[in-house]
Amino acid sequence: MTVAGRTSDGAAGRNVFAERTRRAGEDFERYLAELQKCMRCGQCRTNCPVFRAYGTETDVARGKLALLAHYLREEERPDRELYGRLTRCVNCGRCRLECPSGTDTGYALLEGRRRLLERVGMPPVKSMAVRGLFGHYGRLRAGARLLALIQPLAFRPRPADPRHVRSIWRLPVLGQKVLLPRMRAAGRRRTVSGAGPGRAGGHAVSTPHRGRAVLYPGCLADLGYPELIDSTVRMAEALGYEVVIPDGLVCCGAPAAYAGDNETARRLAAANIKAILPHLAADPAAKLLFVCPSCATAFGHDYPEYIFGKMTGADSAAADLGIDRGAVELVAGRVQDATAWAWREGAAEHMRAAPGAVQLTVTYHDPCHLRRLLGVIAEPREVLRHLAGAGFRQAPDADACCGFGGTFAMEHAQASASMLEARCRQLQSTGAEVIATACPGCMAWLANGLDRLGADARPVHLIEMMADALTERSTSGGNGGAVGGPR
Amino acid sequence: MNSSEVAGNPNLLPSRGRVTPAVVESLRRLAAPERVLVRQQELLAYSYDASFLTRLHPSAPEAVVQPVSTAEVAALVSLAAEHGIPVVARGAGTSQTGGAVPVAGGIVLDLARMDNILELDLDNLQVSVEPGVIHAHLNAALAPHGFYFPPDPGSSEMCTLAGMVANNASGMRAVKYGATGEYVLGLEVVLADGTVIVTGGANSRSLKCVSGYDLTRLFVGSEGTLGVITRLRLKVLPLPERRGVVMAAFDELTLAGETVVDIFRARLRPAAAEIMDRSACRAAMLHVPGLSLPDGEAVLFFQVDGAPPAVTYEAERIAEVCRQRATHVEWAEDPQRVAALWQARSVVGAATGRIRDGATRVCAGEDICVPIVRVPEALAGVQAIARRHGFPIVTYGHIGDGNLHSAPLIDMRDPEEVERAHRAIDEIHRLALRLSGTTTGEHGVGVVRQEYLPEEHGPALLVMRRIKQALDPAGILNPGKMLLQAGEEA
Repeated sequence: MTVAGRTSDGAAGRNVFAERTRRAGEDFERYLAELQKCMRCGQCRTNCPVFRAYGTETDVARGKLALLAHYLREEERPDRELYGRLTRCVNCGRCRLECPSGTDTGYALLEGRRRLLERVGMPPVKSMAVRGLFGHYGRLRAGARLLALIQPLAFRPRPADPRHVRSIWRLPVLGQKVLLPRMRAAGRRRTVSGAGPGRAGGHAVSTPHRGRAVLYPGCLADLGYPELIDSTVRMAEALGYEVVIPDGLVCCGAPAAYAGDNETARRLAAANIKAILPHLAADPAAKLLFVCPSCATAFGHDYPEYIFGKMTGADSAAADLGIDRGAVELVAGRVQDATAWAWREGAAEHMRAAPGAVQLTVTYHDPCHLRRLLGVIAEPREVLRHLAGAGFRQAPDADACCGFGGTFAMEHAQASASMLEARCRQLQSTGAEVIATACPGCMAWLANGLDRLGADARPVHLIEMMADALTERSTSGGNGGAVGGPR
Repeated sequence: MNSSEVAGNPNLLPSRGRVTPAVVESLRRLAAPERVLVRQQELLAYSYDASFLTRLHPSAPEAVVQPVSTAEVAALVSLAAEHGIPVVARGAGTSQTGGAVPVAGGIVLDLARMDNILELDLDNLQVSVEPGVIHAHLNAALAPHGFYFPPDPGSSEMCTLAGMVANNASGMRAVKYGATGEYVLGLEVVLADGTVIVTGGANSRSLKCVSGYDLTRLFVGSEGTLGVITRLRLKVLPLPERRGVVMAAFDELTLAGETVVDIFRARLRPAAAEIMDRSACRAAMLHVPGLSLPDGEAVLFFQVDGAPPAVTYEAERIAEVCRQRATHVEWAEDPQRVAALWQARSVVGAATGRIRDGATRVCAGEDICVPIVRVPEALAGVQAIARRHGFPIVTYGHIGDGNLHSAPLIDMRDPEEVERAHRAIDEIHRLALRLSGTTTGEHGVGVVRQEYLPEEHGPALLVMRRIKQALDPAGILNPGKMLLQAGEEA
């Protein structure tokens, strides 16, 4: 019989899923079990934005999982090329959510990268960014300060959107002029919100003291958009909460985890958990707020599921770092997206601005991690419907990714740019003057995309709009008021 | 890299040519260099489809080319013909048969980039599309105009239209509307020597045509062995105004089968008549925690469509017939209720994999088709096979045309269980033949079912081989499939 794969001459006779001769172990079994789940149905081709940009089967989850399965063979020597292919992924989570066979593509691809990294090592440039900068928050902060110094030399303000500056030259990697946040005195750290309950941002607030919230700023807001931190504090205070920003916070670890460097991710995660735990343990009602859904996803999902879960063997994995499983889960259980939290805390009732006071057409861009991993879909829309009334217009294709994905935007600039352009055209099609979103990464990237299209629309974080409405600063313009000008 | 393990088997086509560096150079001249893939890792991503076989044993091409026009396809096939190199057309790679996998190596033509809808000629009930258009995209484009393309495969969101034609795919609506082939008015095809022909009339826009041999139907279901489809003229229909659903539960499989027979006898024509056996109901309920299905050996789902009064009438009548034997009957025509009733059926495909931890659904023995009255026997037979081999097989399918999808749940990490799975799959196929059925109702033969062709077709297989010989004498088009190569024996 000539039926391929069933010949007995061994030409194609090996079952890679049964390969475990020298590598048996609990974590390997778990990885193997996940890899075999993918039934190669091709559903992930439907919506993978990276596949759409490149059009090649290696770029879709099915192709990557098949490559990882191939490299289960002991005699195959994986290389940097393979590592590069596996990082052609924006980590938007769509394939995982829509997979008919229930394959946890998030875990399988991260674990695949981790195993691969052990054998081929991280490319030096990527290692400089992921480990050298994001692995040491002090350096990241110093880098931001340096950038603040040199920015005026090579960047000019964007008139339509004064908090962003545009490079004078096209950047070599991106082939585009690039927009960055206008860097200010970066990296300020306030351990407890200055104003305290009752005096939000200098405004008298009648809301009674309701409790304490812990805020994790995240690198982009902390260093690039400090006004988001101020807005969150203002917003929480207006709702009757005082805000604590713990000392000793570092990068959430997502860049390292997505790069397959679970060691760095674990170290950073443990440092964050240790810094936050006392505040949460002391106050069982305290929530942990985020302005960046990717950081929130790292804390709430990746820490318990992957970084201290499937990827390292659950219980004992964190002992060497001085934390236990209970601490990981306690912190994860308190994670809240700040926007959704504030809305559920009754922000609408506390707003000084009347419903519909934002006299602008606004649309909303769903951040991937907020929508799919944290499941926050309705609240942002309710906020905007409340604030802008009929001026709120739904954008088409709510699942579309802006193409940022952290290091993805630099490593795979072309695909990222085409995703960004497609998304910005969709958002533009609503005629909105303001593009509201709930992620500083999306906000920065959308600013770039809108600028490239020559659009006047500005991206704004929902938290800014909510803080403004709660404290009546919505018409002041500049950094204090996110949404300026009448319609 | 050790690639011998997954490279196509050259022995399948003894006199074939290889993709040498000189050939690669030529490919790059014919298609833009960035659309010619030759890196080993890129090739590995074209070494499988959804079949159990190629998941276990992938088979990589020597080159992948992503053409964007008929002219490019014709030039590429000519080049391959000149060198005797196998050419395998691939759409989205959703086949469950190994059909899109280059088991003899050679060149894969990834046609997914030819995805333009060329023309909607709705006054004449037809559309013209490129081969890589996704099925759901065509229906999305037609819906605003009030039209649709009736065949409805489960893989609608990713499968390509030319892939559907090449396998004569269908879906739930086949019971009323038939398979893909019935909607193919004409095809532009690149033949094995690179010539381009148009079937169904070179300039015709007619909806019927008996001028000459029906070459269109020859290429429908030919699985890429006779030519490469580069353009399709498809018939479309007006969208029904309304849809209704009837659900009925039965204590015995045979009662469900008898009910379906009675429904046709009562002169009713459901748009879909689906069955889920106990294993499938259990899978659906495990998958959707809130979902509750009536207890029983089988649940039937019917869809009716048409003008609103007709939908009400038909749904009521079907429910009435069901009540004679069912323990539980419900029907709905309100869209929300319809969706709720239909939920179990719509999730079952995804749900199957969840009922056994550490196992995976494999696509094998997944498409048998038997006479309607023997569906209960087939369902019972598959369950007996599952019990005998010690792993679950979830079965559901299109009882209205006797087409059943069985999903064995296998732990591929266990080589012994994989062996048992192969035996069970063979038993499922032989069960279908014993019940006067076929091994495949809508998925195709590919590699995985060719061993049954002699038994299914007898001397007719030799006629298939003569047709193949006439159109592709060198055997370069999708070799190793459908037992078409002379000298291949089961």
